[in-house]
Amino acid sequence: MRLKTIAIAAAFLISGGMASTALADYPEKRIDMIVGFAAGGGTDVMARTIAPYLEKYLGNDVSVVVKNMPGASGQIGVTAVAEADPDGYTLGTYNLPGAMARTLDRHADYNADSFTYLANIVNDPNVIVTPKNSDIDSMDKLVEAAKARAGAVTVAMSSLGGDDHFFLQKLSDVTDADYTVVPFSGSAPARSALMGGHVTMGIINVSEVVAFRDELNVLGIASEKRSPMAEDIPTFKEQGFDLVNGALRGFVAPAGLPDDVESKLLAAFQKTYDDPDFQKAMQRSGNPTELALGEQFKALNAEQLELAKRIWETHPWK
Amino acid sequence: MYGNLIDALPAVLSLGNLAAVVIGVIAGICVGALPGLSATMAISVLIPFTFGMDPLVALGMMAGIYNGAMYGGSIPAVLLRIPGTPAAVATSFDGYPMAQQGRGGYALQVAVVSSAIGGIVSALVLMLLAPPLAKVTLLFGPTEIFWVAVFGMSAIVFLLGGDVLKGLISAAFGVFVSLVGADTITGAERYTFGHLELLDGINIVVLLVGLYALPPAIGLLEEVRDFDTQNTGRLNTISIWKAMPGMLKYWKTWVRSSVIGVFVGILPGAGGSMAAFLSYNEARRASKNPEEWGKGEPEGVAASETSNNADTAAALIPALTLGIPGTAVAAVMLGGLLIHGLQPGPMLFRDNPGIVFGFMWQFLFAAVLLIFLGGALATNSFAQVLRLPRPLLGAIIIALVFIGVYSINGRMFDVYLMLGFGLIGYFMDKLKFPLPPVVLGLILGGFAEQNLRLALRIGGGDWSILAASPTAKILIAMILLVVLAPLFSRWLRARKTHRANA
Amino acid sequence: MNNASSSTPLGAARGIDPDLIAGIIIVLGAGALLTRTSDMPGMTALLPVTMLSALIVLGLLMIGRCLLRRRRRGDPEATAPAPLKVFDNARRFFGIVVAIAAYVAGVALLGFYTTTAVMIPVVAWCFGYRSLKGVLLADLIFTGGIAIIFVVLMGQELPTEFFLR
Repeated sequence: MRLKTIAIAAAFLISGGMASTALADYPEKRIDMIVGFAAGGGTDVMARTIAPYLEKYLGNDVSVVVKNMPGASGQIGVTAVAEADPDGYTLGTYNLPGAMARTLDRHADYNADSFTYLANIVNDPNVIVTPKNSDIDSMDKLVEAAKARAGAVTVAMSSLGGDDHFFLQKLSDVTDADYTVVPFSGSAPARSALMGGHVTMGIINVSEVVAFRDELNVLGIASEKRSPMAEDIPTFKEQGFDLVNGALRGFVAPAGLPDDVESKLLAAFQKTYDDPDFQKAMQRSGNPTELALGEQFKALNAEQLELAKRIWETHPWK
Repeated sequence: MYGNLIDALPAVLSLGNLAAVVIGVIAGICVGALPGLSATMAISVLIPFTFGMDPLVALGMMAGIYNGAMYGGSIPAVLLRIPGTPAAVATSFDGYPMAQQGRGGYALQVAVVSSAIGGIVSALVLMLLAPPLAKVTLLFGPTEIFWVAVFGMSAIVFLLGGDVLKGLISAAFGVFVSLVGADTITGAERYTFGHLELLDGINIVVLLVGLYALPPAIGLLEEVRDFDTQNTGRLNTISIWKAMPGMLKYWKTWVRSSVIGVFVGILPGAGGSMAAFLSYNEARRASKNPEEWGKGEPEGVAASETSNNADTAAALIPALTLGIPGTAVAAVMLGGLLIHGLQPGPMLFRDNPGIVFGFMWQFLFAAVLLIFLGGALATNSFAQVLRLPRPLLGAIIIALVFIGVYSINGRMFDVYLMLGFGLIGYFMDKLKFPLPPVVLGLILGGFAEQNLRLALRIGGGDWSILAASPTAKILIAMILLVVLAPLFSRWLRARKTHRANA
Repeated sequence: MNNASSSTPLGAARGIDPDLIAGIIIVLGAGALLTRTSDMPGMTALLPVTMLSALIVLGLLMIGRCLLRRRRRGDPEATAPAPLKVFDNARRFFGIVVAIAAYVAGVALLGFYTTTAVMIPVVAWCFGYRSLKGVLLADLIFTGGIAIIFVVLMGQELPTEFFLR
């Protein structure tokens, strides 16, 4: 009788132990990392740069395989992540404010609650640039020109409903002036139009301007502190404009991830971020890093959604 | 700058890097030659694979594939009237009639020599003139690009074929297809029917494969024919080295088409197919016997093939210096640079001269290699492949078409879309609707529209902005000249005969 | 006119010009698409409306031309062009369409390599290449070659086989 009890208890223990080891064994198969853009884009390079570090810190000789699902400015990939099994074997890249803005301006099969927020790795602040030979080489002159005639200042940017567009809306509020949006498809054509002097000003990200400092005037950067990528660019706050905005790139998993899987992933992202080699690799690919882990990232997402909603309600862009 | 060029040479000449170019050229010719596969697809498949490779090996393969595919596309264009790449559409105009007359071998030799010449010119331009030409690119804002697109559309007139009504319907259909997707300026969706896959528009490869590769595959299976007796694939050629001196008479076309190819290359977003159409058109206009064109004039093949290769390296000038690719393939290649941490811009030339200038050398080598690999080896073996029994060839093309379209974005949706275009293409072909206007309409329609609207935005809705810059004025003058000159000369002739009669 | 006696079930056999059918389809298709432009903003709708209207006008012209041609054909003196022949062999054409549809569906359901390995010999055989050795050899070289390039060399995914999912 006692023996039987012991046996049952032992069986429980073993099975319980096995169950927990089964979970503790995560990851035990290949992890797919879904990227919503084609190979070679900024987001793709970030994913491929981080993959080997995740492999290292998750252990178990796991392989993290990048899968490109390009289309609809990342929406196809994000939707696939939202709809995947929450077992920790499907992760995906996540771009803000785009991912949240798409839930407002289009039909989207996901929302802010569809994800487990893992880590935001890149924060690429906006900058205002003007052509090198332009008279407008300071914020004051820009505001003056914008106020002189409504819509006289034409603004090149990469698309509607992105970080650059939201930044322009903030600028418009702060400076109390109207600007004419000229949405090119992509920031490189917008930057070239600026260099050719075809538009008055442009809004791009700091990573896209560092290689072109000699060809463009940079009026300011929309971050709290100056960027280590370009120490000489003053922040807007320094110049008396309360403007902070940027493009965020991070990683999410489907909502409902088991707790221990989530904590393992969070730990791996934290260790990766702290790895000096990883930081060096990100720097080399021109990605300004800033970590927001787990709950912090979730809060960041809510904040971005709030911003997008506010702008969508006051100034719908389509 | 030129010192950097010399410094970059030794690394390029290392065995591994040379091998990469050779493999790239061979792979490119194969990809171009197999109906359904395209350079865009091959490079996008290659890019993830090169992550972690030595940059010069990766870039060398891409340079090889790009050059190889631009020539390779002419092989099925000539032998089967299936352009292997979008840029080979114009090659089929005269190449296929030549093949039907039993001169397919000569057509391919003209194609390979012209391709190599275009490629060499383009590579030299990239090596020697990249920074000044990047300044030319900057002159082209939305207004100017709009006029270039209009200039390109003037070529439609010559592509309409015998039945103008049907030609116009084809062109309008092409423009309509180019409008599918999100309108980038208002953000509104056009004809996406709720499909996210359609938001970015319809990839030209999907349309091209559907229209051009599927109907002939159906045709191969449809014909009841004793396959053993047909020998249309026989090329009957003399050695390429003996054939070359005879081609020297095309030198004017080579020069003209190289200039057009390079020019179109440095313009953002225009692409190799537009270069080929334009230069075919210009060569025909300059020809003494324009009525022979479209019936098997080797000069037509030379014009088209020179310029679509002259476009390759030139398209990298805006890509490397400004980050704006000149062609769809250059756009994919830009991804190949980025994945190796090579950010485009002036700093690229300063920070990584070894790689950038090495890459330029690789383009030059790839172009030269075309003659050896393309002319001497690949062409004949592909002619053999295309002599496979027709039902088998048809079945293989169907499978290739699937791979080619599926691999671009890795999704079935594009395959279904391609099948739809295939059916449309089949009936268009049977009812004698010309296909080239569809391709030109797709390339230029939405492109012209978007730039026109950007220009108007910049001008605050004032149409006078379209003629504001000196560049725009020059372009308008060129368009007027090209469109009006033939009318004027006809009027002059009419007046002369009228006087003579009087 | 001689073509009218060929075995095509559509068009010519019934004396209907395929151009006429094409014209009607173009007008109807463009008209249907035109109704969808109403909810687009003005500038967005401009070019689609222009192109679709152009297609409708051109389609109507084509219909008109067919009708004129038909009337002229009643006149024995006229040299109106004979209507175009649409199908070389309609039965084969529909067979091919079914085969392609089955192939694509098969790839989506069963995986790329399995379906391709079956499709190539079956299609080649059914459509007239009756050499068992040739068919199987070509199948092996082609499917095997693709597998080597895509799976072994590039690690690129084509639709996964049903037994590997």
